[in-house]
Parts: sequence; C-alpha cells; structure tokens
Amino acid sequence: MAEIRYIEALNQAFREEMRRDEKVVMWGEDIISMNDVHGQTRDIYDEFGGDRIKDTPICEQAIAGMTIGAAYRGLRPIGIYMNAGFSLCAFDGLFLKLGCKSVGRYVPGDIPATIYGVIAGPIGDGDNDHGMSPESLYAHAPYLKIVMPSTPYDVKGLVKSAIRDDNPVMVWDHAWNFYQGHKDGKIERMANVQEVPEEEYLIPLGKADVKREGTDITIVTYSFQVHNALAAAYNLAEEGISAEVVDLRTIVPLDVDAIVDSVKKTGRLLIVHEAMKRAGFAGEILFRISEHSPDLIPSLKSPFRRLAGWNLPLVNRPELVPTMGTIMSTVKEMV
Amino acid sequence: MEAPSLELPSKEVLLKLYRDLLTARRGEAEIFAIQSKATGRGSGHRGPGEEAIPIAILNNLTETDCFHPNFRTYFCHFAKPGFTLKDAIAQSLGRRSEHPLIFTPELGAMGSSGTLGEASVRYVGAAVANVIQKTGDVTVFIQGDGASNRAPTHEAMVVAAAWQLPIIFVIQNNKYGMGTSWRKSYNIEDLSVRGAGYGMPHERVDGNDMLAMYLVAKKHIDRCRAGGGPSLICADTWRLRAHYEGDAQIYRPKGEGQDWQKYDPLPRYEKQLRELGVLSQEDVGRLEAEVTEEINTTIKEVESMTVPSSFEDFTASAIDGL
Repeated sequence: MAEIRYIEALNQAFREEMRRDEKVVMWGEDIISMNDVHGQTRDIYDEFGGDRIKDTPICEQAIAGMTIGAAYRGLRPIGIYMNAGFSLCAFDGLFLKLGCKSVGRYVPGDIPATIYGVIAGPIGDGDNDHGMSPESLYAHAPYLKIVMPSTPYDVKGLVKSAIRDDNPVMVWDHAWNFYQGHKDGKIERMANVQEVPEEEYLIPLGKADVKREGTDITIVTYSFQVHNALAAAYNLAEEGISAEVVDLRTIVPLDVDAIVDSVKKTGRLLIVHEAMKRAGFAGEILFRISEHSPDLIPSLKSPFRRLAGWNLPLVNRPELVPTMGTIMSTVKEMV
Repeated sequence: MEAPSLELPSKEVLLKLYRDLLTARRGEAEIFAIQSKATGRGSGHRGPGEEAIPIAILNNLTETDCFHPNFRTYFCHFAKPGFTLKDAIAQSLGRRSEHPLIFTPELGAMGSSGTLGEASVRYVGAAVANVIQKTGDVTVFIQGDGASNRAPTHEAMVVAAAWQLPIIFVIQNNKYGMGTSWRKSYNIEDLSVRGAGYGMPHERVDGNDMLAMYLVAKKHIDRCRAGGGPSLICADTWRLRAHYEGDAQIYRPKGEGQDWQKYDPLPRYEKQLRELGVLSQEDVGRLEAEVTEEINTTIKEVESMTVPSSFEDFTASAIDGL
C-alpha cells in the first residue's frame, strides 16, 4: 500500500466512481480549468471528456438546480462549490429543494445527487464567504446527509459512498486537510498522508471512528479539527491525561451510539467544531446524547464543554477557531 | 427568427387545440367550484384567458420531453402526451394518479417551486442530462413575467446559452406579479428582447391567439429539436382574474383590462376556426357536451380514489430521527 496525500485520495474516489458508473458527472466553477483550485479534479477531463465534467459560468444557483434536475433525469451528478460559502447563493435550491422532490411531493429517494464544497478556514482569502463552515445550516434541512472527512483513508471511502447513495449527500471538505495534518503532537505541512488501499472499499455514512482511544475525556469532533484534537491528545498524554478522539465523519446521520459509548467510558465530554458557536452543531450533539441516554449527562465527572468558532465573521485570524492549544487548555480545566 | 410558417396545421390538430383549450377552461372552473365548496373559500390561483400558451406548446411535445408550466395554468398540463385529464384532476383534488402531474420525471415533470423561477435551473439540469444521455428530448420552461425577474432565471439563461442547451424559455406575460404590475417591475414592454442579452433567438407573440401561439411554439421547438439551441419566447396575455380567488385586488385600477375580455383565446379561436370552416355551430355544441361529460366522469372517478399517502408514510421518510 502506498502512502498518499488527502487530495490524491479524494481524486481517486472521484475517478474510480466515474469509471465504475458512466452516469456519474460533475460540474462547478473552474473544476477543469483550475482543477477545482486544489487539484481535487485533476486529470478527470483528460480521462472522461467534456460530457462528464463541465466548467460552469459563475452561477451557483444553476450548479444546485442542475444537479437536482440531472439527478431526476437519470444521471448521478456531483455539483461542486469552489467554496462552501458560495453554496449559500443557492440556499433555496439546496435547503428547500434538494431532497424534497419539489413542492407538493416531499418524498425522498431516487435523488442520487452529491454536493461537494470546500471550507477554506480562517486563512486564504481571509473572508467569511470563502472560509465559513455551513454544516449547521444544512443539517437543519430535511433529507440531507452531511459528510465532513478528516483523513485520506476516510475521504476516499466516504466520498465513494456519497456518490453511490441514492439520496442527496453533501460533502463539506476542509482545505486545511489538503495541506496539513497531525504528526507527533504537531500540525505539520504535508502530514495528512496515509496508506490507502488500492482495492475498492467504502465507508458507510453515519459511522463515527475513534481516531484515538483514551479513558479520561471524550473529544467529539469532525473535519480538520480532528487533527487539532489528535495533536492535543498526543501532548496531553505526556502530561498524564488520556483523551479519546471521536471523529464523527458524518454529522447527518449522527452516530450517537459511538458518542455515548465513549462518553460512558470516559465520563467527560468536550465537543469541538470550527463553525461558529451560536446555534452550532455542538448543541445538537449534546441534545442527541441526552435523548439517547438521559442519565448520562447528569452523571458526568465535570460539566460538558464546547469549543467552537467565535461568533464573528471568519477573517484571517486563526485564533477565531479552536486550535491544538485551546483544546489542550480546555481539557486541562475539565480533567 | 424567421416569420412563422403560414402553413396551417391540419384540421385534426386545429380541432385538438380547440378541444384542449375548452377542456382546460371548463375543467379548471369545475375544479375550483369543488375546491371552494369543500373549503368554504377560494384560494386557488386561476388562469382563464392564459391557457392558449401552454396548450399550444404541449401539442408540440412528446412524452419524454420536459415541461414546466406556469403555476397559474398548471391544469393545462393534461395536454402533454403521457399525461391525462385524470392526472390533472387528481393533482387538483389531492389524489395520487399513476402519473402525478407535478412530479413524474420520466414524463418530463420535475416539480415546481414556491420561490418562483427557482425551478428554471432544475430544468436546465434536465436539459443537460438529456444532452449527455443523447435522449433527443427538448425542454420547455414557462414562467410568468414576475418570476422572470428572479436571479435563478438569469443563471438558467446564462448556462443554457453558454452550453447551447435544448431548452426554450417562455415568459407567460400576464402583466402582474401577484399585486405588483408591470409598470413597477420592468422598464421594457417587450420582455423577449432580454434573449438578445444572452445571445438567444427571441420572439414576442400574442399569447391569446391560439393559432399564432401554436405556429411560434412549433417553430421554436422544431428548431430546438434539430439542435438549434435555446431560445426565448415572450407570450403576451392578461390576467383576467385576481392573483388568488378572494383577493380584493386593491392594487388594480377599477375596470382595468376589461377590453382584454375580447381577446379571450377561447371565443377568439372558435371564431377563427369557424371562419376557416373547420368548426360549425353544431360542432361547438357537441364538443361542449363531450368535454363536460368527460370532465364530470373523470371527477367522479378521481373522487373515489383514496388519498395517497398517510401521515405515517410521510413521517417514516425522515432520515436520522424525527
């Protein structure tokens, strides 16, 4: 097995699914001319040609609508947003229509559409439109599955499952996954590499993954924050604190069983996400735990906490979102 | 665009158009009477006077072509090959027929949108899928003048023109978007000229003239089917009734548009056919009786159908918990 970068694993997922099923097509802004900026769609035009991959004009509402309409008419399309925030131009189509099968017939099924977009985080263009994390907005809609991967192995298996799903799936990817990752207690450039099998594999949607086992506290997180949590857990271990890191991988469906199992074991809960704190997904996770196991929350050894993005526009200031350092200090206050 | 062919359609087509127009007019009125009796009030968006536009278009389409009606004249959708009057009546009375009018993608119906105009980009997606899968189907997307101002319509036309997709946009221009008149909404009289801005052939037509509407629709659809790419038709008409039944229309000057009654496509087309010698007074009486009988029989049939899905079926459709 070869060690490959995250972006390569994602590109393999797209290409393998397009080889496997000629109904898989994709469109978005600059996905041919600039390989979707980060290289996600590299070589796809050369291999599959212009019927299967299309550069759109700057028309975000059209990207959503076309993905829905083409799915109704027999294709298995992937609508690509260069930045997740840009998808909000198409919020009507994505929130009110995708999955709902038109006014008057709210029945899911047979809508094999995938929406893919990139969260730039608090760097890059340094503005909210590029950087923001939209998952809580879309989690509020009926019928949308939401995938938020963190590692090369996961992104490949999850994106393949997303494309094959007969219901709409959103994949909100984090650009930091492409360029950096956890290694030995640090976030290092080009460290998000992993051995990824060459043979076919799928990761089911709705199954969390315990990325690191521990006994003192459960850190529930997803997307790039998994790397911060792993780096924090590595360093906390040297200080005698054993943190378990649960990577949700998909927030809808939510693997409440996995969260509850871990929290029962450790007796402490910290939820970490990059999206803004107010009305963020941490609140939903907490309620789902409580509804699943009403006695668990009152029995915790210390009050549950959350770390999330500040309730501010995401400008070019990394301290606006959780970091390895803030996760470590919060855990130390809790344990 | 070239002028429409002056060649008249066959007598069979001329009479089919008349029968469909009559069915739409009588059927919609009958359905509304049932709905208002059931609810004690009317709330439907009715479209008498505007039916020639969809009827003319639908008589040029095949079963697998894609079509989106203006919500005001959705009842006319029965005239699309593959759909029946029963489908239209079932849709109106909340029953599920074999082919739900609003959503049967294999017959080219892929839903509408309460946010008007939003569905345009969805039908562009259908046109893309038709091209990629080489089905040869064309797509016709009708919307009102109000909806045509919305952003998704713009994006739909940008993409359709850039990719030369087999789709025809039709603006059913009845001069009102709910309570807001054309005077406040756009600074041109002929909305079809917007097509030039996208690089699309465009044409304005009297949407209350069934024969002109049919010939223009046929020309554009034939051209599109032959690979000629997208185009825009603006069909002028007039909203004879309120936005919804019971709307007091305080926004409309009293008596405004009364003269449009004389352009009502039904009597107007009937007169044309009689002048052409394809329709007699006896034919008119016979067709009225036939159509009324067909509507009444179908309504009875539909009313005996059960309401399709239970609340339990619906709630079971949730993913990841209710």
